[in-house]
Amino acid sequence: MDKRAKKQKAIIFIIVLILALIFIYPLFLIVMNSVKPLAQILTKPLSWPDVVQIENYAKAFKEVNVLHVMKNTAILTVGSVAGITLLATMTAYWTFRYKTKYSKVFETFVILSMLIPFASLMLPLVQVMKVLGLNNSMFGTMLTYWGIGLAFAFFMMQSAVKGLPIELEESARIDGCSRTRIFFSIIVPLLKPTMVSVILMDMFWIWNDFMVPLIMMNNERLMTIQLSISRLFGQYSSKWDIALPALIMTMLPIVIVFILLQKKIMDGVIAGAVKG
Amino acid sequence: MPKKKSFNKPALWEHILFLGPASIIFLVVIIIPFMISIGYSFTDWNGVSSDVSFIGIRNFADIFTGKSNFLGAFKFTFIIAICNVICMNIAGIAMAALLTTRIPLQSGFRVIFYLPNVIGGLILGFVWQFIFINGVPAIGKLLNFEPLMTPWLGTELTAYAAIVIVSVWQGMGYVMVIMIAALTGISSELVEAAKIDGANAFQIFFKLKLPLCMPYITLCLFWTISQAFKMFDLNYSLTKGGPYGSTVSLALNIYNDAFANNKYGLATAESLVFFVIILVITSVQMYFSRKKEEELM
Repeated sequence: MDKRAKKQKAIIFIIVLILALIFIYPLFLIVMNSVKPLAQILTKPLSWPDVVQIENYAKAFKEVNVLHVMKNTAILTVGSVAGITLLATMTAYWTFRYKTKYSKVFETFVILSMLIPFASLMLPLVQVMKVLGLNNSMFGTMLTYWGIGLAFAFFMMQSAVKGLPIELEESARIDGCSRTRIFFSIIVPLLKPTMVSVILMDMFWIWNDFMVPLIMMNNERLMTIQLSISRLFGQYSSKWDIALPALIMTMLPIVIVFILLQKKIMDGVIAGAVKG
Repeated sequence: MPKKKSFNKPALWEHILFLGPASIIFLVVIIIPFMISIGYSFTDWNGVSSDVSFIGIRNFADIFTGKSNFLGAFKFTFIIAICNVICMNIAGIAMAALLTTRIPLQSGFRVIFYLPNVIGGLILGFVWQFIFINGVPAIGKLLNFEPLMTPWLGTELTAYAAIVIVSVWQGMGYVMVIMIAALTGISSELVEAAKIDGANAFQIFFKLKLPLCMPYITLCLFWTISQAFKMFDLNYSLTKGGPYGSTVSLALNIYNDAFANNKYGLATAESLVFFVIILVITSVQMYFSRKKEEELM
């Protein structure tokens, strides 16, 4: 019995291993071809590189201006995620703890906004931002993410807020602590685990998002990773010796973050799926 | 009890501090644009010029009579959604079943299969463009297998297949992670009891475990449906809608009409119909998940 179970396990292991290798093969091909000269990429895409041409990376690095676009993407992501998390935590806590007529209206609107896809808002949003003087700006784009990211984060936070013990707040009130201080020094620390989930999930979304920057930031100075890759492919559609290293360099940061934080990220995915 | 009362009634400025900023952002980013969108959907504005004239429901009539590209985009998106839902869920559930068997390197495998999910659709689209243009034909030559040697992104049927392959490759990991959580949550006593009753591994999986995971499966089904309907990045980078506009998704079609074809009014009308489609999907989902909420927690 034990022997049979072991044999079964070995077979499953081999099946999974083969599937994993097939699964990851496309990415492996990209890495392998990224160091070849263009001629060899086109004629022998499956073979090992005859010469390792690291200059491809140097060229792509300059062409895409990797540091610059990564900096922009990082600023955009951090600013957007910070705003979403703060707004969602404040509103989720307040609408649950201090129910008023307005807070109920607010909550309803947040729920309804989950039903609106970004594609249904994007066209007039550009005009609204123009009127406010925020089109083609980092802040305008962050503002957009704060708006469209609020609903999901709000739901995540609300399910955490529901579990908070009110006694703690009551005794803090009796000690003369203001509501704002209660929120920042008692509530926020208690909500930290859920906030981390929200941060991680929104971080991946915004870092990888293409649609919002495409609509909102038509500006060389503000190029994000996604925008610059899209432009690169528009210009050099078959210059794979530059395109492939550029793809790898832009994938790398997010892949590293994922591998380092894998457990937390997958827990966040599950929590988000069940509660969101 | 005056103290209790003051605890429950914050001052107006406190309400404003906590709900004000979010309310304003909400108004600017969601509510006002949505209203404007409704307004423009009854006009023939091209997005640039200053003359806007009211044309009633003609944009909507054009959408439903097939004069705009909307119906074509809907057909494409619908077919992709069905293929994706089936393939993604079967692949994800199968992988979850294999990875809950306590084999070595389990978490390593989990990372590999989830990896494409953390990379953006745009970048993956370009990665696979290389694979389909250069990699797949080379593999076909190596194996001497004719069907692989065709230009995959060049014919309608194979371009559809390419999009399904890449989306399943990207999204399967999500289903897998959710289903691993679901399968490991099943009490081992139930499984033991079934074993004692003489059930084999297949019976245990299909007749015991899967029905118990049903709430999670519904969740994955709806996630995959709405992912497919909102497709934009992958579509934009992998096929750009080609060949001959046969693979334009709903969102890409709206974008094209507004920014490339200068039919802003029509595009806003299309975006409202798109909203209704997503609304229906999400409402059905909310109905189901509210019903299943207790089972999930």
